[in-house]
Amino acid sequence: MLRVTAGVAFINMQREKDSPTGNPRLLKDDACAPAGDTLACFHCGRASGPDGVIRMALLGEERSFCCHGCAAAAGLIAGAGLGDFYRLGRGAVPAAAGADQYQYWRAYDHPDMQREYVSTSGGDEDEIALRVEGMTCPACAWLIEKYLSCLHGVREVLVNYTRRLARIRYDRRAVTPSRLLTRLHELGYRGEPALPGWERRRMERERRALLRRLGVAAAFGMQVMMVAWGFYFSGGTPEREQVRLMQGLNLLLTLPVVLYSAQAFYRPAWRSLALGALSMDVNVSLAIVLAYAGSAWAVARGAGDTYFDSVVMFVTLLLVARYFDFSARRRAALHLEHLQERRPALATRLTPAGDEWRTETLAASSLRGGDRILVPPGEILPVDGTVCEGASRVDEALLTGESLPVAKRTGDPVYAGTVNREGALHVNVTGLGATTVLAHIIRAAERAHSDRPRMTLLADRWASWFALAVLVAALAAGLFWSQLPGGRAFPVVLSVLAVSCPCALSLATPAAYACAIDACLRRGLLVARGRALEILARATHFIFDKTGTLSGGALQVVELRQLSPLSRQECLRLAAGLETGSEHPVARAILRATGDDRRELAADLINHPGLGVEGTIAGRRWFIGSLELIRRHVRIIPWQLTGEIESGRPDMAVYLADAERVHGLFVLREAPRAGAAGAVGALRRQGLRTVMLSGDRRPAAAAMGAELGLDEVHAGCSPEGKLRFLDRLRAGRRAVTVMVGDGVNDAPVLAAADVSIAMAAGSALAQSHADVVLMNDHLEALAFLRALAVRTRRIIRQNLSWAVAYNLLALPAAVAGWVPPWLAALGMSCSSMLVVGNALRLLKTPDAEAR
Amino acid sequence: MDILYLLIPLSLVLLAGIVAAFLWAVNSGQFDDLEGEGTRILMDREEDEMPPPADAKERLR
Repeated sequence: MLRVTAGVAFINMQREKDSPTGNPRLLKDDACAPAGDTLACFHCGRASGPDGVIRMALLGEERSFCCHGCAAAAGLIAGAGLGDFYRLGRGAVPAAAGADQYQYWRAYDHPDMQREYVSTSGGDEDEIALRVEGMTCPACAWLIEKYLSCLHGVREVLVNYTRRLARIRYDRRAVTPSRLLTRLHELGYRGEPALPGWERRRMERERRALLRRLGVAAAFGMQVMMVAWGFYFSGGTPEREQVRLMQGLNLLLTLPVVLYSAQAFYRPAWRSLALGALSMDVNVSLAIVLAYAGSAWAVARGAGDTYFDSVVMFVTLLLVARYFDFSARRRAALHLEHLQERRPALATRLTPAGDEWRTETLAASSLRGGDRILVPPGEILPVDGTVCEGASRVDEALLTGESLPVAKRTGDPVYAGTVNREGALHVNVTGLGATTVLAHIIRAAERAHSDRPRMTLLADRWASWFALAVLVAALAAGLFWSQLPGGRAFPVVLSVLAVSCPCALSLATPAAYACAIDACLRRGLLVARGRALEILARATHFIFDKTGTLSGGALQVVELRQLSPLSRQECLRLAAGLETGSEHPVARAILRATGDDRRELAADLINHPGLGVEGTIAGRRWFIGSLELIRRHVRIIPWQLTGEIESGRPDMAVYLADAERVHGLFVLREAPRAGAAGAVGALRRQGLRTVMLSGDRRPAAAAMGAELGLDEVHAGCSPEGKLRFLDRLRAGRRAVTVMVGDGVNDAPVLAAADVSIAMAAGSALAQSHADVVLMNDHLEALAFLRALAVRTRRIIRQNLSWAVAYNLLALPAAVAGWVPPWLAALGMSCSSMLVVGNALRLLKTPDAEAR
Repeated sequence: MDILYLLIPLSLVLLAGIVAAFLWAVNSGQFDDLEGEGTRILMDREEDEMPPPADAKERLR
């Protein structure tokens, strides 16, 4: 510790003088090193190794190092102007390793390896997640971020200390994964590309440790409580010898709780102290240690009060609260891991061998784009691809939240992680490893979990100040009470330390967000930025794009006008006969309108692309299509038809005619998506203004707007017009806007809105940079999302109000000496459990609330 | 009250037993999956009759 403190003053003095790029001189000085030198290494803190001591002038003074690796690491750190690292009291840094490792990292540059864990986010930019071992404190995270960011070609480094994960975006042309790993190594950390599964194992370890601490605390706590119960409620005065025996017993029984179980608080407390910050763990640890030490002294003296029961209760109940909080976050993390594990490691490749297909089983990672693979029923797809043979139903619930299997035919896209339910499929590989839609979802969801909303950041800062205030209050109360007779200073200090509860600030807010994001994922809503939930709760306007969002591109027949004596049924039958087998939206609409009526199929069909179809039914030639087609083939055109289209009616017209005359007119209109009206209605009931921006002509947009019950409809908008509209809304009415678009075409407008929500069927998902992605295209989920955001905000507010009220009441009472330590411990722990429990309710947000 | 001198050591022995049993249970993964195990009886695949705990989930997929 001394070494580090001495270093502080000196680094501060020297920082201006040292040129940031100045290379430190390296001297190896065996002769000067005294025999049996046990100087601690300046970098890793270990005693010198077999090489003898290495001395190097660093930061203006000569330092000793255990090995060349450490000396080089320290030189790098100082050279990059990061001498502060040695000031931010870090734990022991792992010793740097030799150069023999570098060859090993090179393997990660191989394109095959890269495909698995490097993702390309467009252009020359790649992103990699590295699992970093050897990080012992947040200072390490700080160092890694600063140091790697200095590298040429590295765009962004985000180190998640709790998850031991470094996420790095870099320019592919300037940086390779091996270079990043080598650099990490030079700093003394061991990095590996993060592969699925490791995080779950780490969380599992952590969970078991927490459970063990909790179990030990509870078991010993029961014994301690049993004895304490005797004292409190026995009535009469126990013999002195008996009291001594029982207190001695409790002293012994509390020891494992204080030494083992309470480590869960000591470690974070120590870490935060080392960083020069205060957290509530510091207060908790102080209260535990003080209470135990004070009680032990009272036992030794044979006089005074003991607080063993308070200590065990405090530790046990707080651990219970921690455990709840941990399980909430674990659930969210496990959901991600579960997604990651959904890719089978093996695949069956098909290679042509004469008339047959030869099958070959190989690792999914060694497939190439364009390979053809076989997916038997019941198997999980290992890759993204298109179906090139076979038909089946595929369960996409994991990706979209859609519970019914989706039918797949030749040409349809299929996605990694989905389950083939019925028939064998031949799939043409298009996406592998990190390029699959599944991988994209996982990355987006991970990002959401590490993106901390403003509320959390604020709460963290408050919690730190609050912890300081409590320490000061405890000290002041102790000084005050020690001036008074009665010897109550000690219990009052304990009460003040124990009673304060900043949990709602530091614990329950992140838990609430984690639960909310997880609840969304289960319903096919991918929240890519955690911040979005916070803004959604304040939203005032929901703005929809028309085509591709409110409508799914499908048409519907709204009117059939007869222009000849031919009956309505006859018209439909003929039209259906001509359109059967066509996949055109017009054909689908007409077929839907006909229903299951018997129809005579047309012969000699001729398709006029973009115009219509002609064919023979019952010996007569029939035409169905646009006015253009009719003009070309039909002899008599009624004069009123010529004006029909030019007049800008909202709808699309399709004519049925024979060579002689026109018989029927089908009026078609863009059909809204199923559930669009319900979603708009639910949002309006939540007090939001719903707006539609459309590039279409006014009547078409207006018709759709009226059908769905939108508040405002703006037609004929260019992309610039849409942007201007957004700006006007925000400037004039201080509106908080949520834009819902189809993700690809509306990118600029989506980016301009406060929150962007993209509809993403399949591959569009991978291109979308929206805050939230509707993975199943169910618009109803929007109402759920908004309701959940409001609920999240409400729960966080409840927690904050509770915390403020509780602390305002309890803290002065404790200072005044009205709260005995056992009550303080009970009150604080129950308060923690209350707020965490409240946050956990978000996991069970009912659908009903959204409607 | 001499009985205390027998009862207290006895309770300590019991306590040690309880803690040891609990630690064993945690370390051998008895608490790892509190939800999934309950539904296992509903899966009627024969290969699942005696699955080792570690890969039970893998198979259920």
